[in-house]
Amino acid sequence: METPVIYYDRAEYIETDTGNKVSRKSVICGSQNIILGGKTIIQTGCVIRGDLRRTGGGHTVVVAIGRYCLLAHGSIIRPPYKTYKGIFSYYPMKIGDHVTIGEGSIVQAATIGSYVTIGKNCVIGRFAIIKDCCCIADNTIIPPNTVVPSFSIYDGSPGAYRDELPECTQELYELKTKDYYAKFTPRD
Amino acid sequence: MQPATPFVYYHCACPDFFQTSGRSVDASGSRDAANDSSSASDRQPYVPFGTSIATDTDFSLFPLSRLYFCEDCHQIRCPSCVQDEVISYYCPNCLFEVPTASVKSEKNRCARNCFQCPICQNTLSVVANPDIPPKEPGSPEDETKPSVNPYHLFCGVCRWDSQEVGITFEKPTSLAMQLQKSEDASPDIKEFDHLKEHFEKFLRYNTPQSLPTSFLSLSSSGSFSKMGYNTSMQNRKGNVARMDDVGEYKASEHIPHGDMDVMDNLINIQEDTTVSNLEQRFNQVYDQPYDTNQLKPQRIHLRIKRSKRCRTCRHILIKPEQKAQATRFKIKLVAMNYIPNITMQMLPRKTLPLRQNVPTQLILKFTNPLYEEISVTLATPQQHQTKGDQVDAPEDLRKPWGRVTLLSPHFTVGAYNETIEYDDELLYGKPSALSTPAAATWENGVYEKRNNYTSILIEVVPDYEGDFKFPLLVNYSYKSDEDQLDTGGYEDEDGDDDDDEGGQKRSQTLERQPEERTKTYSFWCVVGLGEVVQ
Ligand SMILES: [Zn+2]
Ligand SMILES: [Zn+2]
Ligand SMILES: [Zn+2]
Ligand SMILES: [Zn+2]
Repeated sequence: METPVIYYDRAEYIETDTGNKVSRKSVICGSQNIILGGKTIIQTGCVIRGDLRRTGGGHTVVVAIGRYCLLAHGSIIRPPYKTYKGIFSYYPMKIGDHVTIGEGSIVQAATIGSYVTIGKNCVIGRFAIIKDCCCIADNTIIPPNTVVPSFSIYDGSPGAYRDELPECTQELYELKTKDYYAKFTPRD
Repeated sequence: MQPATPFVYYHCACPDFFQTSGRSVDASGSRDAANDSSSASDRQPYVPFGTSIATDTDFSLFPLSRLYFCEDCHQIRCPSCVQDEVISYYCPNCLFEVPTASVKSEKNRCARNCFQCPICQNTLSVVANPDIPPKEPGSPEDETKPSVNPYHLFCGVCRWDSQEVGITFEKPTSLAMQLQKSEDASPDIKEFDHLKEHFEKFLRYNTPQSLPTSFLSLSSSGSFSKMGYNTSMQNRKGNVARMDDVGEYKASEHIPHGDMDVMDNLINIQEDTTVSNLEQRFNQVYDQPYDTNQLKPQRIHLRIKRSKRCRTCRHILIKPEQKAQATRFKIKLVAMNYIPNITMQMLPRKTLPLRQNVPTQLILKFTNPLYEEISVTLATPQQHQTKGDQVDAPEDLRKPWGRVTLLSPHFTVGAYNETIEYDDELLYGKPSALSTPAAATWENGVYEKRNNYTSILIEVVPDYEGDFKFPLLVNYSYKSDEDQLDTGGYEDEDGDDDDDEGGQKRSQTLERQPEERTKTYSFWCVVGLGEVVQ
């Protein structure tokens, strides 16, 4: 089924020079530490904690998100933390291109590759590594430090390997995110 | 498995099945059927999979993304029409690529530090016990009390701890090596080694000098298969006699039957939390303990990368890069780059589900992945057969699905080119473009025609409640331009670029034809529109 055109309230979204569309009803903390690659959509109720960063030092990138990503309603991006040699610290998070994060999902991964789809209501644990071309099914809990290899479908709690994605996953997810961006239009 | 939501499944003409069973339905076959139906309009196109279309059980129907396209056979190939070959082995957790030579001796599992939790199958992490200081290198070894190892495995999900089952480690690396001894002592491993030893002499005599490296085999199953049906062995009759000389085998391991004890334990337990579940038991195959205290952490299974060949012509359709972390392909002939992609769309202000006996118009969108314009002809068999072969028709053909009217059975779809993307972004940016196309154009049954896609209208009238789906025969043809050599050269360059990027070729016309030719292909698909309500 083709996605229908998705209309949004023009007043609610800020569109940047590079085509990012960010809802004013989202919570973006520490925006100077956040990079959006362009044509990325951040919807109503999202939270990005760019303020949670390693103490000391000057300007750092805490959350880097690539192009054509979608942070659906109410999803939360929080950099991972750990206590190493007695010192509590946050670590940066990197998200690739063409990544979809479903409604209400909480992400504390270390890295998420490109062409990744995360379903609704998922929890991606601290320092999880999700490689390119992966699918995390709805309601999946990925435990901390988990590595999800490419072309995997993970689901369950704790999330486990269920199936393999087809070879054309990259094209599929690229089409999907571009299609969504093209159809995410203001209503006037 | 079958989605309740609308879908388009494509039919693979699976030569191994449909041809051997006397039902010739390859592309030429179905094309003939289509020609027949056009020349003699009273004949129905032949539906290879019958018209009851059990999409949930039919092995030949797949979403487009799961299909391949063989450039030599010019055919769709499904996962059962390709042959898999192992390219490389790797651990899905540490992503270490395991050399093929050591895969067997490491028993297809990670031989480094990757273990799965025996309780919840999560990946375990190695942690240091804070109460036990790590051994200092200079400390005297002759302490009277037995030294306690400072490291153990820990599950971050269910908090299982390997100290519970007495597994600890001296150092936090090479964990598998440290457990090697206890693993080698397990009865199944010992018995297997014993078996191997028993057959070794015989096998060594008969083993061919080199087994193909991609052979999917245990250490000696290749040789075992030789015992069964190697023709060269039948020629050398002397060896057949030798098969009897293998001698009687006696098991080396004797495990007492503990069935009564197990039963007693199960009768006496108060809580079910100490009884292992099936998944836990199957992860410890050799003894499958009922008691969770006897479950041991297992090394993580390796995964493989596979190349895929067309089983008909042996050409390679999929060849991934060998490296475990690479997601690129040297060869990738996937169907979505060769055949029209069909998706469904609702008309504005119309929604599913369909209603019984209510005509509903829908949009079928055809997207062309080729660099040439294609012309498409559609056909769908009608359920109301007024004359002819109703008696001969197989039972499933008499089962109706409703009426389907293709308002535009012939149409063209524009060629793909790289600049389309930008147009699309401009298109949706303008509010005017979002207004529905003029009603006048609908009369041809074409809803929208842009870039490399054409959306056509169909009308369906479901006769019964339940899932509504219908078969669709898609014929498509394209021809090369007069100035094909120029565009051919241009596409060649693009093809090279694509190769660098992932080896995907979108165009079939890279091979230059001396004269202009029309190429015609056809395939069947099944369009499902979900539940019908009253
Ligand atoms: Zn097949
Ligand atoms: Zn490993
Ligand atoms: Zn566990
Ligand atoms: Zn072939």
